Amino acid sequence: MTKAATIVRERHLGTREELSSFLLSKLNRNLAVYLQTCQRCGLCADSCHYYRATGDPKMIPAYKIEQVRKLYQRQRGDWRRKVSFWIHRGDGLDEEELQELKDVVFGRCTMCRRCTLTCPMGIDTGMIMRAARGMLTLAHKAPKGLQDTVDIHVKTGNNMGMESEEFVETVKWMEEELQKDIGDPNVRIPIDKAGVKHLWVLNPREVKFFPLLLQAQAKIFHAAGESYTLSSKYWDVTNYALFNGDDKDATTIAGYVLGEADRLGCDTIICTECGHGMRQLKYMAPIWLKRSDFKVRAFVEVVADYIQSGRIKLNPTVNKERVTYHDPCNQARSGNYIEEPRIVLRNSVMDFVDLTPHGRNNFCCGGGGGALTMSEYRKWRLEAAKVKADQIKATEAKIVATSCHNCIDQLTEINRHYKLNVKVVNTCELTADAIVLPRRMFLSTGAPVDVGERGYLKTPAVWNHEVAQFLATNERIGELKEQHWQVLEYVRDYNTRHEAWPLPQRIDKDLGVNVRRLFPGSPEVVFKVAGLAEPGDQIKWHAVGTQNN
Amino acid sequence: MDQFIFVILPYVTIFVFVVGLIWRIRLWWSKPRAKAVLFPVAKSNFVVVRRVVGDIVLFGKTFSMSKSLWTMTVLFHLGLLLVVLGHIRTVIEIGFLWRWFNVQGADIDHVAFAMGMTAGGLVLAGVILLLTRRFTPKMRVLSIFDDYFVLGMLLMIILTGLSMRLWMPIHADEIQHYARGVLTLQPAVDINNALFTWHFFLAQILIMYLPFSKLVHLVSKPIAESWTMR
Repeated sequence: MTKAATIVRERHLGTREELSSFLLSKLNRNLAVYLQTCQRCGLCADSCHYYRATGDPKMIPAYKIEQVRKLYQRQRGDWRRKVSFWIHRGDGLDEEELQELKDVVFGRCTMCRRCTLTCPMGIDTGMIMRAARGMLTLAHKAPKGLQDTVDIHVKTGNNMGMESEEFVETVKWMEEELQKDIGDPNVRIPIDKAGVKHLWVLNPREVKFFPLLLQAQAKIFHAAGESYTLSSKYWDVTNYALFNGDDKDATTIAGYVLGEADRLGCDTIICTECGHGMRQLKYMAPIWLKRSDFKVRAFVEVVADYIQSGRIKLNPTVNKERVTYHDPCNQARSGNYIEEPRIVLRNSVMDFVDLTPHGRNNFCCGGGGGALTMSEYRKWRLEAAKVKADQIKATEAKIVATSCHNCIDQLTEINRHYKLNVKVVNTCELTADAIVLPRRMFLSTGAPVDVGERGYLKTPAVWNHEVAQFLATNERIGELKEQHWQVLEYVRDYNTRHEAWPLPQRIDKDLGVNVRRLFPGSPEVVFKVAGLAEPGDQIKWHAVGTQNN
Repeated sequence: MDQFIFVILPYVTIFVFVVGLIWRIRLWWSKPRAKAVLFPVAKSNFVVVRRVVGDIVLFGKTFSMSKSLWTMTVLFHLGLLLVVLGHIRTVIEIGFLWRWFNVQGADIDHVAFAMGMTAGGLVLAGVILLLTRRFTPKMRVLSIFDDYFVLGMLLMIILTGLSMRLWMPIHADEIQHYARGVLTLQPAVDINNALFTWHFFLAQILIMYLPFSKLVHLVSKPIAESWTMR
């Protein structure tokens, strides 16, 4: 992850005693049980993408767990009674050992928890690794890239050190793009709008590098008529302190977003497609902040809801290529979003295939646990990604969709490294492309006006200027001007008198305008906007006074 | 020495085992539990119990990952279960069982011999396979003292036990008599059988070792596994 600026934060360097007591404080019931229960049977080996790709026994999760258990064993005090009893090799750790431990817990584990799934004892390696990571962070041994990301986030409120103005500017720009895209100048991407239900939080990566993702998601929100808001201050869903094991920073960072939800009066937080961001807000923040008065929803969940309740209509034929879905670890195994992305994709694309294995059994992309911020382990990360590359190849998919930004980055690198020739996208991109905009409007009186499949008014009698403007927007025409109105009145008048449609040439001639230019698109557009009833199979043209063919 | 092994050590063993295990579990329970589920979670506690018990009976997770390890571990654990059940006879006379199956007189000893050897054979096969597996290059990296020690102890206990049956048979009545003595706090050193002494001694060491080693998975496996489910 690139940094906006090098911001150094004063952090306290833990003494040996503090490292010891940190480890002790991390020793909850789970950890104490896990560390003693591991049988080192090696069944976890084949569940780990690092081991599968390299065949190096030091990549086996049980080996990594053992390194941490040894660490506990070596502490003074009541460790030995808790975790093991027979060896006591002194209390401290020297530099070299710390470096070795760092390679194990940061470099060879993405905390994806796939080994927990296959472990007959149910040992949660991710939890064990996080304890060790926390200790190394306290000893200032966390990878620099990762620590910088956390420091910048704590200091500036987002992990790229982006200024509020820059953020607002980007959102405004995307708002304009969205308006152009759907031809409705009234569409907004609300910022700091108080009193709405949903707070939408983003990944800085989107804002900085992929703003079109903002547009895609806003388009979906718009189509569903969602009431939501962004915050101009703390809008970053990520929390890299989940990865460096520093609970204090993690609490601070999670508190930023929740503080904004309080300030704006939102009770539900909608997370952008960010795996760990969703997980930490939904499952960890209630523990860190000791509160549970808020709801957290993942973007895929929200979209799946829209689809199932009919709030958005999708036309999957626009996405014809074969699509596969990579389940992010934090979203599937650790987040409970396994069905939702499939609902979204099956409705957004024509040809969807699953990876083998998939769902809760899916392999980590290799970019989990903040791996993308640790440039020193890039080689290992790409080596281990071979598993994922093979998985993708086997599906023969042209597009790999996922719902997590770490995954996207890693998948993009895999794509390049292993020459997969696929397109890596977020699910929201596919959905946004497939969206069929709503065919219903509400008049200022509150009465609904429905438009048929082909774009004709269902009840032509309700036509007025307000309706006409809505119809025009639907046809991507924009604001209607005087010439437009002239044409529309003419068409309506003509239709009442002759019970037929005037030929466009006739209109041009009678009014001295260019209908096709005023109402671009299909020749029927002008009649749709004029609110004429939907014709049968045969359009009844009225050709009197013109030369027709 | 016999005095120590037969009179003092049994009480030490019982004390260390029971108190050690209680203390161990209390240590765990004195700490807060963290949620560590894997989604999707089990629908009810009943499902959790069913899955945990199912895995204990059938070793399903092991089977899905490695057929060879599954064979070894089933031989090993099934054999151990039978061996432990068989050792009930060293404490109480199970006459009703013999009557049930209509086994009489000298046949009792023959059947007991056959069953004991079978069960012991299963464990022996299991231990040897598991120990061999520990010495493959991959497993060498993973294994620590604990792993070798437990298997080595079991190997020695099994070997002394089986050879006792074969070459220095000792009748169940004698052991029952001694066991009752221990239980009624009147232990007597009236067994003179070197193999039995070793067998008994090593077994006591292993039992005392249990609460402090990876053998606690006897207790912690269902607990830890259920944490991933709900």
